[in-house]
Amino acid sequence: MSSTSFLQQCLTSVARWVPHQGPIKDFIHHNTLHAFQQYPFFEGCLRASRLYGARTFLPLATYRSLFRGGQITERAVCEVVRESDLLVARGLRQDEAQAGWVETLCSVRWGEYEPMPGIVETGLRSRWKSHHGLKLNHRIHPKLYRLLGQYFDQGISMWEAPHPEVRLFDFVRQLVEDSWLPLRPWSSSTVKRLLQVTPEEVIETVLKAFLGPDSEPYYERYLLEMCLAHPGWSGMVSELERHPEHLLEHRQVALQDLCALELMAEYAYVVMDLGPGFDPLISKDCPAPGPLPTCADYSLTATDSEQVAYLWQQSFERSYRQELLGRLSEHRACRPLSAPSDTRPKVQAFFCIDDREGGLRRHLEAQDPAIETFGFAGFFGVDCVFQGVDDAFPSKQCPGPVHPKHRIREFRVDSRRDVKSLNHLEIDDHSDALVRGFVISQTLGLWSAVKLALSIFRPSLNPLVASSLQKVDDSSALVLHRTSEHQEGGFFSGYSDEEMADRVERVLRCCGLTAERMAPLVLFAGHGSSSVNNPYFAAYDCGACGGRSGGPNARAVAMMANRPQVRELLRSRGVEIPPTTWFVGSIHDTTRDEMRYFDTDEIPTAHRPLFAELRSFMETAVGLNAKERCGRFANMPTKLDPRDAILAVRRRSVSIFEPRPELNHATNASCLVGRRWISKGLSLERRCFLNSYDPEVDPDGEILSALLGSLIPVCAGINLEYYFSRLDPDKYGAGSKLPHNIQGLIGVINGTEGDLLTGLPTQMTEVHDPLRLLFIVEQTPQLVLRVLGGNPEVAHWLDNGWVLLLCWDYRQGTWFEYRDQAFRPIGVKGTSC
Amino acid sequence: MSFFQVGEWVAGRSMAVREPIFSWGPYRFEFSLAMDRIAAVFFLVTAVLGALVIRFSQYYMHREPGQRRFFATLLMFMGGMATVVLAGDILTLFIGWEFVGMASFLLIGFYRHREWPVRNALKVYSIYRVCDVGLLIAAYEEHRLFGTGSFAEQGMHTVSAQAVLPISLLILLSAAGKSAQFPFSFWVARAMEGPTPSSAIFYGALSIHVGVFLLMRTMPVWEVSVAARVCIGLVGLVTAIVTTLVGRVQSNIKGRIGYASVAQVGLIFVELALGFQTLALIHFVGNASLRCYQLLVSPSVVAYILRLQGRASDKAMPGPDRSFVGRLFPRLRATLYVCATQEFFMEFIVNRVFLEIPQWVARHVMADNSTILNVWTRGFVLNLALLAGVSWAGRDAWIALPFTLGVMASYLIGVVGIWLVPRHLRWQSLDHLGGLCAHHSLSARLVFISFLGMSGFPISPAFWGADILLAECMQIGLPIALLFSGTFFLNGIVLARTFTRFYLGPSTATPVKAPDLSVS
Repeated sequence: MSSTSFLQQCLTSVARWVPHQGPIKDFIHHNTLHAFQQYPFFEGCLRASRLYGARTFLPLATYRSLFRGGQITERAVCEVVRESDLLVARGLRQDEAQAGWVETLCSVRWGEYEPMPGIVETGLRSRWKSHHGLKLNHRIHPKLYRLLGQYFDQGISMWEAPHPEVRLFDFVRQLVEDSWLPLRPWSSSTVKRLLQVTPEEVIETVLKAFLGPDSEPYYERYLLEMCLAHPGWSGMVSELERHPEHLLEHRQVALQDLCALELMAEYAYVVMDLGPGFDPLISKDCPAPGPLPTCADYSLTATDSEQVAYLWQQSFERSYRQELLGRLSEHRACRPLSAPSDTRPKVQAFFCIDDREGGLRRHLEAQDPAIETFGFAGFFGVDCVFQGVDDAFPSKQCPGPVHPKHRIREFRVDSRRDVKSLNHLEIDDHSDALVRGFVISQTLGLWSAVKLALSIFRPSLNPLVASSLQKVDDSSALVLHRTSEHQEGGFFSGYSDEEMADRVERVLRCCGLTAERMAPLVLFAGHGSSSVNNPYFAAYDCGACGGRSGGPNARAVAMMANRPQVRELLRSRGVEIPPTTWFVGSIHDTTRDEMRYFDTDEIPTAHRPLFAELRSFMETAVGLNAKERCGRFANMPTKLDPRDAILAVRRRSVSIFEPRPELNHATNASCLVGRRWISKGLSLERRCFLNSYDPEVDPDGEILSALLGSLIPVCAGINLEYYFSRLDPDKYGAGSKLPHNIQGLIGVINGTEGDLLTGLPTQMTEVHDPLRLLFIVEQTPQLVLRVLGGNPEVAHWLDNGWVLLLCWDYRQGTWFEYRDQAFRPIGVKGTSC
Repeated sequence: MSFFQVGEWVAGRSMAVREPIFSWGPYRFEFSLAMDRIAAVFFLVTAVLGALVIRFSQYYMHREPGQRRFFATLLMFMGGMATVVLAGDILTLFIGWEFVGMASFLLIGFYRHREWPVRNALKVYSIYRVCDVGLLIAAYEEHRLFGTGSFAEQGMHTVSAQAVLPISLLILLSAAGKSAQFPFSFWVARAMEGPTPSSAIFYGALSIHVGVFLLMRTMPVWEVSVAARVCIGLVGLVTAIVTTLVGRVQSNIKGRIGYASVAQVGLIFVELALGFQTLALIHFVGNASLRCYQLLVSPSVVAYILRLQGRASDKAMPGPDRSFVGRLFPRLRATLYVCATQEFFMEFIVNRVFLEIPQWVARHVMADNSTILNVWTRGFVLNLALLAGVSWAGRDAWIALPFTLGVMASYLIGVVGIWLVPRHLRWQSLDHLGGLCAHHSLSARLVFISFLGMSGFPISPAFWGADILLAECMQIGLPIALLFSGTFFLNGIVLARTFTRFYLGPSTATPVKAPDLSVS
């Protein structure tokens, strides 16, 4: 094997274990331990914990207090211990009667669960510090981060880096060559000549010098340890190498450039301190290290405290499952709803499956029994890139795994309304220049104190707020229908009628909506959020729309369904839309609890009274929803009437001092895939994703297969990101948001020369209960098994236990649990009503 | 206090209060306050921005672990700031000055379980310590020269320009350090580690202008020396140019705002050197408010710039720089870029010039890689050696009594504190320890108090003792002042370093067995 391809292989492998998170403007939730998904959940967590030195369970003391607080039940603990095949559980079963299990688990004899130090602290590279007293990280990281930051900057620095068009390695070389003064440490005489060769050769030369002869097997290890010492930047570089389209200003990056530069810097300092004849890291006295925790031949043994923590964790999940199933069965028993009633509903509303929409749906339905709601992934099947009036670039508006082929463009109908000034002098870079800064601070400086006072005492909507409602503009229209087959940037401009019909058909079929059941007014409600001083704004928007507001998708799908040609096509496919039905697109702002409707002037006159009625129902519903949300904020009065609650949440959304504009997906724990009447009227405490699915119209599981294929990655991505960020806020999460600083518009850092932070900040996760997502599918177990058999990608998540699956057999009314690739019936204890 | 009165002060009326606190033998200490135009403007800005930031933080810091510590430190800062701006003599000003510095140290290191905030807090503290030395010696010299430290009287003496030049330069050193002027400017970026409101009030608004205040206060002293004015103007000008360039390459928002603020402070220095005091006052008010607001809304910048780029899509995207620097020929441009990236080697220069000696002392005299007790004892001995020297020089041993008792008490508190941590940690080398305050908070508090006492923090008995000693030894002159400030400087840096290494940073208190990675 040639040395170049060997190195490439090492780097590919390294790239796998660094975080996969793109720039913050497209924050997309994903499984933090995505790379470990090939292992069963417990094993994957442990291996990751050994690799990163991160915590993957709560402290045992926390589990004990959850048990005392009743969130973990004794019944759940006993069930878990009985079923578990962990050594500790086996020991318990052998040594003690069931009555003693909980007590033993609660005892302190297991010690406290603490993660072991990761390979960065204990590995090969740490020998520079332990054996030679060299603190390379302290000396190199700030210098490296500064260069990387300037190279990748997307618009913060006022002086663009020279030659941003060349690759990172050449960028540094060019700087060193052009500058008369040294760029430390890359200009030092020991490494300057290395800039003349390729990055691969640099890596090879330096590693050979560091590790000694015949040490190729450890190259990957050293590179990995080096990259994991700054997981944020190496993750960003490798993510941008895979997806350069994330950057609006293009950069040529490769992980090997980063590695080569860092190795050069290390070499310079090592030679400076130890002299050119330093001892390599692997020698007779310092034996080579064993395999990495990611290797198959790594001997992984779980300590007792880890096993106990996992038993507690499973019990925590089981307790939630028991409670949820109990409530669902009880709810069903109390409200015998056979088949849905035959009366044609007045209004049907499609919402996103998002856990935040459950409350609004419940409150809306409670207004009038003739209102029906559905849950569907918030992009409503419209997989597109969208370019709004204000967008310089199109952005993807569909779930992560989907690759859109169409572009929807928004254009302004009435150009006179374009004069709204958005500029905000205080944060523009003018004031940071010397002379203009002088003028501004001498003249307008005092005005910013007034502005500050106003924004503290009277928060109001201002240009700093990132709001989904800014996308709602009556003076704009969408280019939806494709007129030419010309592709621009790889995208068709708009959809053909067939393609539109496909998308509408999918939504309607999935929810089992037929012509005789279709209401005269059908609403599609996308959702987005509004917040200020919040770099994570994208994480608050719709996950199914790739971290953007779902308004354009809702608007587009409604326009498609209203299009006569599309209805014609649909009729020929057996999905009839009655001529009396009208579709309206809208957007729900989950932070402000505000509804906005698109294209209202096109609603036929006959539908206007009904629409007005819907609007007033919706007003009441968002008020109730806001009230319900206020109860969950720690610093809000608990007794508010809906009107005040709305004012309170809207004020919150524009307050620059509010680090928690909304609680987002915190506490998410389950996902219901089935008909609405399973849970209609039941408060699921905003913990549940709700996806409508009619098992009766899907005899061959085709719909379910497509559904799970997009549902599981999106929901489990959200769930697991919260899960791991909650468990280790510093290593998997981004720590507290309060000191965060924006780096180059691509990420956040602590201080001014910290590593990029990945994951979620504690303010988003602190109230979250780390529970794996529990999927509940209303379907026969045989059919679900068949669907999973034909869909290995989906089955992969379930077989390894990264999400949990239950099946509710709607014919028998019995529950099944998915484990070891089979369904086993489980009993559900519901309290009688 | 009516607004009318404030108006009067701003218009130029002045007033002074002198309150004798205590006297001991011939020694008298007075707490002296003054109110005039400068004080009124600074005080108003302090009060208004301080109140706004505290209100902001009430929501922002909600539920944050350590929020009580945050507010306590913020109030300590506000108190220190008020003392500085209302001080009527240089000693009172120094007291407030120290409080401001200590609050800075504590808030930069607010996230004390992390490595970099603690390291940077120490870095900034070391530079503040340099300023303290400058100010202490300046105060001493001023006393010697004018017989008083009172600001009201300092202009009344006719002293030759030559005689005030050393004082002026010392004042410039402290003002430049505190206001992050060249060559100290780099610390402002390192200081952005605390929660955003603390960065806003310290490095955006108030703390960064304390040096400006010092210059304004002592203007009657240095005004007479043209050489001093040229120096002040030059420092300001160099800072303005250098930090503007450094600020232009910052790719993070807080760094960009911080350097922009420092550049404006540089211009204020220039204005003062030219004698435009009113202009400088207006500039201060504007700059403080603007930067405070900018830092507080800095997390909004992603959404804001993205939208702006959208609006500007039909215009040219941020393409090639068309400014002055952009037109320079490539090699000069690359050189400037490389220099700006490395902050014009300022950190390197400051380390070489100011911090190499304390580092050498720390390593060789204080043995800072041994145990904490060892370092603390050596610090104590160093203080005693100083005392012996001064008593000998003063030939009057009894006046050293308060100082001796003060230092001794501080040392004993420290020893008790150190004794509270488990034995195996107490005797372990500092190299392998860190983050002990997570589990031993009482011990950390005691040792912190001891550190304040031994490094001569103003309210500690050692400080008063030293002040009495200095007042007595006035006739001996500069060497004694140098000895004192030098010892406080070294002790301060070494003890702070030891304290942070032992108690702050990532915790190693629960050592976990490392997995066995070698092949057996």
